Formats: sequence, C-alpha cells, structure tokens
Amino acid sequence: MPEQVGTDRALIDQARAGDEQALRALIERYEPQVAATVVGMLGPGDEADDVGQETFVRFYQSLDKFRGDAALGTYLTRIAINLSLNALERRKRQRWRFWSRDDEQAPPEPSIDGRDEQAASEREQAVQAALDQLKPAFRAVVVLRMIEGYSTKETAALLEIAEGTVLSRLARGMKQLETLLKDEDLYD
Amino acid sequence: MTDSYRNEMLKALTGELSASEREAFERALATDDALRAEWERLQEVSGLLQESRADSFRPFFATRVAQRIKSEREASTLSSAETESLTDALVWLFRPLAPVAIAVVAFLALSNWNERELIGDDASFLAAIFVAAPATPEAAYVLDM
Repeated sequence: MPEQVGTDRALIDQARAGDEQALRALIERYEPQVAATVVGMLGPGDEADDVGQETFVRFYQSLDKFRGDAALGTYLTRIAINLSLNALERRKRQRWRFWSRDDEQAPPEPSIDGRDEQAASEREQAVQAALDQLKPAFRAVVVLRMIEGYSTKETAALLEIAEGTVLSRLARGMKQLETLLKDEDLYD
Repeated sequence: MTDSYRNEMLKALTGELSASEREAFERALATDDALRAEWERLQEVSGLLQESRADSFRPFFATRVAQRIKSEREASTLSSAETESLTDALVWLFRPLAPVAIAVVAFLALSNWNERELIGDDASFLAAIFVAAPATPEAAYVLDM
C-alpha cells in the first residue's frame, strides 16, 4: 500500500511536530490491525482495550526513534504482540496467586438484532475461548498468521523465532483448535 | 497425516505454495480422501478464525488514547517543572549561607594549623588542617587520654 505508506509518513511527521489530529488519524487508521492482534491474543474486554491503548502510547513515546524501516502496521503489531504476551504472563501469575474465577469473561449480553447475530456472536466467543486455551506461544503464531495474515517469514521476524518454529507451532496450534472447535460443534 | 503434509496444507491455505507445489498439492487432494477431509476441516477452522477477527476496541478508542497521551505528557511536564522549582528553592535557600560556610571552614583550618604539633610536626599540610592522624595499627590501639 504505497499510498498509505506515503500518507503515514506525512502523518508521522505532523504528529512528531505535535499535531494531535495527525496522531489521532494514525490511531484510527491502525486501530483495526492492533485490535485484531490484541483481541485475538487476550479476548475482548478491559484488558485488551488497555493493551491497545498502551500500544499507541508506546508508539507515541518512540515517535522520534521511528525511522520507518518497517511498515507502521508491522511496527505497531510488534508492540501489540509483545504487550499482549506480557499481559498473558501477568494473567498467569495472577491466576497462580489468586486462584479464582474473577478474571473470566462476563457472559455476553443477549443480542437484540436477531438470531444470526446471536449465532455469530456465540461462534466468535467459542473461537475466542478455544484460542484462549492455546499456549501463548502457539496463540501468537495463530493470530499473526491466520487472523492478521502475516507470512511465515514476517511472523518469524515479528516473534524473533525461526520460520520452522512458526510452521510447527502453527501446525500444532491449528490441530488443537480443530479439536476444541469440534467439541463445540462449530463444524462437522 | 504427516507434519510435512500439514505444513503444505497450511502453506496452501495462506497462499505460500509455489505454482508447482500448488499443482502437486491439488493432485494429492484429488486422490486422497483423508487429505481432502483434513483440508476441508482446516479451511473451516481458518474461516472461523477470520470471522472472529476483531476490528475495533471499545467505542471512542482514539479519543481515549489521545486523552491518555495528553495527560501523560502533562504529568511529565509538571513533574519536570516541580523538580526544577525544588532545585531553584534549594539554591535560593543555601546561596546566602555559602560565604558563612567558607569562613567557618577557613577558621577551623587555621586553628588546626596552629595546633598541628598535636598530630606531629612531620604531618602533611592537609593532615594538619583536617587533623587527620595517620591510620596505622599502632594508632588504632593508642588511647585518646
């Protein structure tokens, strides 16, 4: 997307100069990409929202250092995936300390827009619950590769692991997801 | 199902097979029922993952981030201003005392110099003005009577 890269650069320069509107435009432009990564890793909720905010705050703090060697989307995804992995680590420690069910997702509010939406919402929750059962290292590969659509090479670079490791984690993660989703009767 | 086949399928799913690999994979699919069934399952799971892709956070996300950045920036400016004002206050408080402190140090040094025979006439100038007795094992056992 060369046009977007061009306008990204212009917006980054303006944001560096203190233009709040330019910063806001960048946040709005990359919110979907960051949300796909963070919500895929953590599930929807306050924690994901907070990690999403932190991703852009870190980006803002490193604006002066950002040289544009990587595409902005990739740069933000790298921050988002690292913060998400940290959040999962924190979550694990908290579960270890306070063995409770407090941090489980609240049950969804019933849909008011009809059965299709409700069914879609239930499917999304089932997929999210299945993702949640994967080990963070496998989940990160599945999210980046299958949801975000990064190539094996890009995923390896983002996670700083070998391409072979990406493939093996992806294979194991997808196999586990197949089993989990089959148990939920989401497919035959 | 071998790992190598599974990797091929995953690559096929994400469009990472070369033309010849893709051709070979399609030939295998046409003849192998188990492979085809596995391929269909994988496609379904991939479809479900795509369908569950979130594309936004909670409403007004950009506004909340902009607000958070603004308040963090203001807090950092305020904190550096506070540090500067504390330094200024300390300088203002102690600057008038500097000449008095220098005079006291000079007076004590002069009196020590006049009493230098107490620590020995061969003591150096610095040892004499700071009354620094030589640190030796013998000195450690001498009682100050």
